[in-house]
Amino acid sequence: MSLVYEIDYGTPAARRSAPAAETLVTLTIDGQEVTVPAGTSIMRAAMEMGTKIPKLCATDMMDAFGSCRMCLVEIEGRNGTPASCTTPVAEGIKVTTQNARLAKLRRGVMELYISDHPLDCLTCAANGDCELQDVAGEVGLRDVRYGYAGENHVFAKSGADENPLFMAKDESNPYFTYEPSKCIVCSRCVRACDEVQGTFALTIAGRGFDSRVSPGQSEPFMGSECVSCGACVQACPTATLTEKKVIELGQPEHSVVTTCAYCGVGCSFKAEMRGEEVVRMVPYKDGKANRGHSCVKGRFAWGYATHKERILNPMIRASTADPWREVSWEEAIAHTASEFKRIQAKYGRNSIGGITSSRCTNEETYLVQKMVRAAFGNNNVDTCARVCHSPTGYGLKTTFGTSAGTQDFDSVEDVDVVVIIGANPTDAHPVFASRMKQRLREGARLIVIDPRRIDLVRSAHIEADHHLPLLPGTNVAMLTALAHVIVTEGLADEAFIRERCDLEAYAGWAAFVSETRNSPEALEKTLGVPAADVRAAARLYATGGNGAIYYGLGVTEHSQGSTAVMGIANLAMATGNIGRPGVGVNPLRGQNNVQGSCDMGSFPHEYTGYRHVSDDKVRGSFEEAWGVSLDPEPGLRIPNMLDAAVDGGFKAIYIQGEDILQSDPNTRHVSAGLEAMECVVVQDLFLNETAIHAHVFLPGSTFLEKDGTFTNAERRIQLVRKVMTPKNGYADWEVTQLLSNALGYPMNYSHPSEIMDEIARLTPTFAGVSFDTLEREGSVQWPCNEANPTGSPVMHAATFARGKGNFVITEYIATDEKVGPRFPLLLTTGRILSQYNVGAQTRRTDNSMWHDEDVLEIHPVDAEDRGIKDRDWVKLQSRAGEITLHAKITDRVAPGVVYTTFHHPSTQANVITTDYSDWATNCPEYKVTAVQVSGSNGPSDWQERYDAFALQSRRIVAEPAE
Amino acid sequence: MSASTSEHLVRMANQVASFFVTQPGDTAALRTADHINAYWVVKMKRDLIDYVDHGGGGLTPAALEAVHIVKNRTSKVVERALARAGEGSPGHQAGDDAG
Repeated sequence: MSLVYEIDYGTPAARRSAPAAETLVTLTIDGQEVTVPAGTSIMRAAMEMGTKIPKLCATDMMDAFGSCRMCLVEIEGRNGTPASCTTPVAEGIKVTTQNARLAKLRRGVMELYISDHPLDCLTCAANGDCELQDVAGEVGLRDVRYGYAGENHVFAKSGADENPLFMAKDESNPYFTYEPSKCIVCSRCVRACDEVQGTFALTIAGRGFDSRVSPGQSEPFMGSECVSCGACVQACPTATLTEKKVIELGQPEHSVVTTCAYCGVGCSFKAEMRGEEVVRMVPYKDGKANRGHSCVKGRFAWGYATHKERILNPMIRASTADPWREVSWEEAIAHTASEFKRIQAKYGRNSIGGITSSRCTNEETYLVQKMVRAAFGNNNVDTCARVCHSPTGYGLKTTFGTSAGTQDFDSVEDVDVVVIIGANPTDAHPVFASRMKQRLREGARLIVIDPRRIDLVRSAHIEADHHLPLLPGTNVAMLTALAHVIVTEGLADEAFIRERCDLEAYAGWAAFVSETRNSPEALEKTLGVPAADVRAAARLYATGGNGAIYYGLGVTEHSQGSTAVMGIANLAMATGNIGRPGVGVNPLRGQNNVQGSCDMGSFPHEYTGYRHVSDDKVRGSFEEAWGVSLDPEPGLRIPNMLDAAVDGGFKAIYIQGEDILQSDPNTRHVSAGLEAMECVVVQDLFLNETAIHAHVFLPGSTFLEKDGTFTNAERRIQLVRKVMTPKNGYADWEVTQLLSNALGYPMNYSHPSEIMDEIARLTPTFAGVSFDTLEREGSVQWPCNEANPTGSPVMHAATFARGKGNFVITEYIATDEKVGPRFPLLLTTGRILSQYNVGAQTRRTDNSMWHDEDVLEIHPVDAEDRGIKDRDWVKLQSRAGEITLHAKITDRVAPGVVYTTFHHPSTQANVITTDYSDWATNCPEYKVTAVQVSGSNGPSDWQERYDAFALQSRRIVAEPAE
Repeated sequence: MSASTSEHLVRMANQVASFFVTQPGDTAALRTADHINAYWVVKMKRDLIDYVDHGGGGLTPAALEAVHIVKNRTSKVVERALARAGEGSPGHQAGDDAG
């Protein structure tokens, strides 16, 4: 194995959507003819034919800058020596990239660079990966005539005195260092922050010889606006910005392309290794989801894989009051199988079930549901999509005929009007957010519908045209009001509707939305948003060109979540915004493989590819392949499992990679359900919160330790590749296989690719998917079959999956969770950039330096009414429970609304949330809870009791002395 | 079955019906029944039927009618009745494989 080498073309490819790029231009470089799209730089054209022109400030992740003067070329008939990065190709020109004059110029410039650069190459962290060193070699630098005696940025001392130009190393960021003495002021970091990430945290302070890279206003990196995405580190051609891991371990010797295991964006990374040790994760430019960009989680927060708290040996205990006892894999598996068999014999076949993980691979998820259906003999299998995007499945299936998002991420490059509803992409889907911000800076318009003023409403060079801060729980009313404006003002795309949609359904829907009671004016009080703003936003979406709706859990996690998804689909169909690049309905999926876990038949009512268990033909195909008879009745959903447990009929559960105690609503109810079970099996990396109630703990493996596939929010199936041996002994699919075999249902897979082959045989939408296809194509978006052998970036292009698009009436029905005198405020919840979901992984990394606790955001007016000051301890109470946390006073939330995150188990935000849920899918109503906030002296009794109990429950009995 | 469980089932059935009564046509009960057939386990269906049979209240008219349909007709019969009324069964229909 060796390092995966990616060509740097120096400047980006000419934009595919730019009209000029359709024209091809032929020129001659060094006597060789080359043909490239118009708009391509000479530097890129040369690289495409294999000639690397020396460069320092240019890289193909960002626009040409023309500052380093290394890439000079001669063009016949033109004066001077233009920079090849900033000079576009032209028909028939003749370019020379190397001759005596150019060589002398380049060497002279290089000499000046090196005259203010340390010569500690042998001990420098970038040794072996330094573009400055490479270019010095390329230009044949042999001598630096100027010496180092004069003014410089290199040495701390100038004679006996301090060197005023010297700046000490900034080590404030936990993941990388900034060493100003090595900086050549090429501005690549500044431009990466601006163009790639879109945070604008860096600038060049000073002028001329005083020029310095400055985070914020000459602050340390950690004190600046920097979000630690790593784009600047990746862009730096020297050791100025370097990963601390590289400094610690040295340069990697081989790399493997794999897929990030954090959010639903599904970034492609090169895992750069030394032996079995990860040196760094570097975003892969060929990754079609991330196009070479990353965020602080995927780029840096992978240290949890080797964290000391990771559990590497199986453990069992008779009761949750006992300490854990480490046992062999054989004993743990045999014990689990015998318990499951005993419980089924005593309480019936349906008394056990399983939960698949949205963090594990497709193959692992498939295997868990297969084990439940074939070995447990029931359909009691569910997955965490239950609590996030199940309404997306139901809503889009009803309207379009298929439950998935309609576009790829590239589609955002063609959007004219971005609508974000109930999503916070800069925190929850940061790499996609960066791509969206690029498009917004190019001039796309923006509508944000969210109770909270998310960062995108106003950030560097981006300002939403409309922010509609609706009251939590009123999405359906808002969507209907927007539709009212579109229909009554004659803005609907009638040609599209006539051709593509069910006209009778449209007529009924149009009449419904046109009713006066659905106008923005009539709903003004319900929504809490001025009617004029709603009207203006609706007009912009309907008439502004390509309109694309991006939405998240702020849409789905409501009692009318499924209705709201249908409302979104209605809007897209009514405006003809479906079936081509730049438009569509785009659910932003939460976890890395939540799309995949749904596709893989994790729901209790359906097999892979969303086919109901009652369908005789489909069930027959699985019965034949699996050699068992299968239950035609749907099984229990997660909340139903817990209800049934409390009721006494559900006694054992196998939970792979999911922490329901922390992530599911109404913690007390979850806790009671788990307590009522006789055998709770948790398979995870750490003793998570759910494991407090577990009887068997099976150690899990990380994404670095197994082969498989993840499917991201754009239906993109990508390979996960093993880079190290599982520290716990087995990949998760092997553990499931062991358990299934012990239960008497044999499984004999020797590699995950065999599991994918089985999935492809049994699932029409996956028919063309195999590890070979993925190796060859890099990735594919399902449906991938005979009709679409390389996948389907845009769905519903010619017709809807269900035939005609179905408009559905979306009557607003207020949730039963209402504010009143006892609980006068509405709590809504969300995420933050540096932490991921329940935090099990990110809290075990330095990401906690950005967010070490969940805080309660409260409006100044509500805070003053209650005598609350910033950073005060406050008590947050709902009818479900109470917790205590610190207050943060901010006008990001409207009066009457409070907000918090759920990343930390010590906060236990879900003690507060209720068991209300979506009418169609039982997706919990996390986003609306009536609460009261009052002053407090510290953690609540529940929190203190819980902490003590959790500590007690995590004891592991000491090994007996030999 | 505990009181809280029956309360929960009633609430769920009412919630499902509350959506379908807003839809055009007069198939709300049938569609509610179909939804329950598609997503509920046998025991939940049986518990709710028992609850109604023993005089339990609190169900909206459409939800109550749906419980009777679930009790008296098989899932396939409900699907066929819906198809005759020109309605699909989103729960039972193949989702993404339609394409």
